[in-house]
Amino acid sequence: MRKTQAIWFLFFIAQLSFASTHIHLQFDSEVEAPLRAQILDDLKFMGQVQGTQATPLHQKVFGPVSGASYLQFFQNRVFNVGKSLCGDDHAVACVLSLWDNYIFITPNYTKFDHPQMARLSVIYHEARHTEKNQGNWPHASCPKPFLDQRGQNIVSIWTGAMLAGESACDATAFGSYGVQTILLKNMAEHCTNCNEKVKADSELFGSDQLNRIIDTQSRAQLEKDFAQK
Amino acid sequence: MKKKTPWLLTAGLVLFLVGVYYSLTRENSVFHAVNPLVTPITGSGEATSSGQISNTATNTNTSVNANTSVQTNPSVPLSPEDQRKMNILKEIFATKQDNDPRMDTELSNLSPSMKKGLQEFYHTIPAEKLNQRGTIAFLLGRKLETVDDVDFLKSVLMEKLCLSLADCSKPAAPSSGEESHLDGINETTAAYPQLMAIRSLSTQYQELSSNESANKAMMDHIVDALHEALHSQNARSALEAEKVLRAIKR
Repeated sequence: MRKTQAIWFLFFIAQLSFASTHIHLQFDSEVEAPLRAQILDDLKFMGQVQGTQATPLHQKVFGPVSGASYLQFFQNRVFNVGKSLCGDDHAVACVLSLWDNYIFITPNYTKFDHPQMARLSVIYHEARHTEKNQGNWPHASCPKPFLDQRGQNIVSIWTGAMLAGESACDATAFGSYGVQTILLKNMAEHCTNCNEKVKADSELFGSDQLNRIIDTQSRAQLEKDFAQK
Repeated sequence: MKKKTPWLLTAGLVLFLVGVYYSLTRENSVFHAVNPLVTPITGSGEATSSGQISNTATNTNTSVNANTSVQTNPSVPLSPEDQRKMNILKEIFATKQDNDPRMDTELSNLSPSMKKGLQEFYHTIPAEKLNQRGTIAFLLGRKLETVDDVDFLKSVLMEKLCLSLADCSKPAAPSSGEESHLDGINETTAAYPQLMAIRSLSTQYQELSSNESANKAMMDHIVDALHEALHSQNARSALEAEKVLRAIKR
């Protein structure tokens, strides 16, 4: 028994040294090397983030602003990465309901020239959708009408299609849009080893995603959280 | 057990150190990018200080788009120092590692000739390379010192709407339902150069307005540029410009 305990102790010590610095993802064979490398590079960047503070909601969802927190959040939810077109020409990533702990990346992940923080926020958004115990955090239907700050219908800038009625909003601060916004806003404000561009990008895309939170109280909760500097 | 305890601890320590070594040298390690043992595929190979995210990358997709040819005959020749900075920017674009610390340490306080070179480089970049274009708008917008600086950002604001991220000249296919749920990110990226330009103009205006002896003509020029953006085909940037003008009460 003591020998067994000793062996398990040594095994645990060995695993600790790997776990804290290793990105554990299984890639399907269809995920080509450049796509795989880009995802790993992006996650490595997240894994090296340093911060001194975090807002209360960030503490609740991720913990401190730190690479370890961000990698832990992602790797507790995503074990496998596959490749798919995700049923949409514009999609960068998605989750599919029958595939637990899987995210699927489209070729657009490297083909579209998104800022790095935009790419990362998308896969963190999708990682939130893998939480089966939360019903995968389904989106809410955007209200009818769905108006911007000028009182005009929010439409696709390309097709003119209205977002009103589409399953493209959230009624909670803790769904995928909320978590994405919390991540971005905290990176903008509290990342201490991010350059000015990354912080500006985080602020820009964070503000954009906040617009998808349609519940007044949830939105107020998020805005109050981000105001704490 | 007493006699075995030091052995156990020693063995555990050795295994831990072995694990750290492998973590430093394996591709999937977060430290791989900063590991001096690893030869970078691209990058100048400059050493990074501890705690800084490295400027090296393991991304094999490092080839710059064939259409992104740096102008070999700029109207204003770049000095060796400016050329070195331009090469740094090209490296960062190739690695797609936006958080390269050289973005702040090397690509700031740009000389007039470097600014001109960047403006010319901007126009050689395909319209679909929105992050690259937006990064240049960001770099040039960090310090707006002349009317020419503002005019460049104004020209960015007046660009045609990029119709889709795949091909700016072709309309995007419509998406709906769950498919449209991340279109916000796509649309923000489509307007990224313009949004960076507006951000820079707004920041510069606020800096000037807090200074009593500020250049009023420059402030007016910034406001003119923002007013032009109100007429942009890009609803996202028009809305942003309106927000800024409302905030500065102009």
